[in-house]
Amino acid sequence: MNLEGTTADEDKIVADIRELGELGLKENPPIRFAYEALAWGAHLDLWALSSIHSAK
Amino acid sequence: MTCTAVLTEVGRAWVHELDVKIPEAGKAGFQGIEVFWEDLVYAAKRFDSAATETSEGPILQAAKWVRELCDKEGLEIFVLQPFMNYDGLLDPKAHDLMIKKLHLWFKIAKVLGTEMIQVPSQVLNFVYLEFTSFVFDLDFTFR
Repeated sequence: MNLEGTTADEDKIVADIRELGELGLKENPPIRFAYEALAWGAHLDLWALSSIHSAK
Repeated sequence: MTCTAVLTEVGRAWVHELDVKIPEAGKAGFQGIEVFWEDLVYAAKRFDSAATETSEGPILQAAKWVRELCDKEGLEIFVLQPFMNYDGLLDPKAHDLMIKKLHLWFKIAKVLGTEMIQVPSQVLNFVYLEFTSFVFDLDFTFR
């Protein structure tokens, strides 16, 4: 798998997901996001990693 | 307990159309469905045969059609998914394109009457966001 163009950097991934949340909050009604660590994910491939990131 | 039918897992968009899948989900006793982007983009071609995944008007028309089909069956729409290949993009332009796409998804979610978007973890190089180049690659591989 060619991973060029994406990063496993946790701070970047968390910042990206937080950006979704902030934008969703501005909608009326607010939009919620469900993050799913796919088993074939490039960097996050365990379900438990979803909860680690959503806790931040 | 809430039971959801995942539309694309009921059959890929180009094999089973939504006006078949949604009534079947209703008859089978499901309370709601998860709407797949693939199904919406495919259904958009009903309204404009040249529609692609950036054709806002036809996709919104498809979303309205899906909402009406669900209303007939008394089905809720729990989530719109998958907002793919978003997280961890290193190219700021690629990231900005995804944020632009997100704003279309917000509009679609409102028409569908859902308040949730599912985001899967990054799976591929952003180059593969270009669906046509992906199809081209496959076509080339099998020639």
